[in-house]
Amino acid sequence: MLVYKYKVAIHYLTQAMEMGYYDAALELAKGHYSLAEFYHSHGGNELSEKFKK
Amino acid sequence: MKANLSTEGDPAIKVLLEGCFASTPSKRTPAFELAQRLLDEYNDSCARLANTAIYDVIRRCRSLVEARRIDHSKSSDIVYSESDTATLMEFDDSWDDSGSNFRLAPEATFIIGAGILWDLIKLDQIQIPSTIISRGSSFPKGVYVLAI
Repeated sequence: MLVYKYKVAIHYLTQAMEMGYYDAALELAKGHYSLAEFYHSHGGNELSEKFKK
Repeated sequence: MKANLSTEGDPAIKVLLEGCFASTPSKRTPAFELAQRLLDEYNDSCARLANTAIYDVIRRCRSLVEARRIDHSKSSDIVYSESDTATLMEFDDSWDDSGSNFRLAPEATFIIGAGILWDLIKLDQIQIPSTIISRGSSFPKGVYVLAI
């Protein structure tokens, strides 16, 4: 459900940015960062190790 | 002639253009900040003129977002009400809507997105096409992680 939350938030915040609402940048960056952090802590790290081999 | 705001009588103009005429170029207001100020003013004017309900909702929800920006160490007891969310969703598509003079979509969309991120909105109050959310995932609502 956490990923769903971030994806919906990113969708709306990206729309706001595209319409020129630049104040959304803080939350948009936070949303992307949280999503990346989530993927990283749920297998993303292992996956990147596999690619390195 | 050097431009300045000392002779400007309209306080709103003074606030909007504050910093724009600083003698040091690097201290002048950046273009994106000026654009944001103008858009905020435009949105507020639209909301005030057309519909006081949306104006109150935007003001109330915006202050909740600001409070979460300052302190998000613990979850907020006060969240958007269901009717606030429904009102915001009504104005979500008012941008470039032919026949409408209302242009509140940028701010309404931001408040919805920020509300979701800061846990001020319950996700079941939002309806969004599953194709957008499921991008990159085989699940309609993205990836689920089950706690054991």
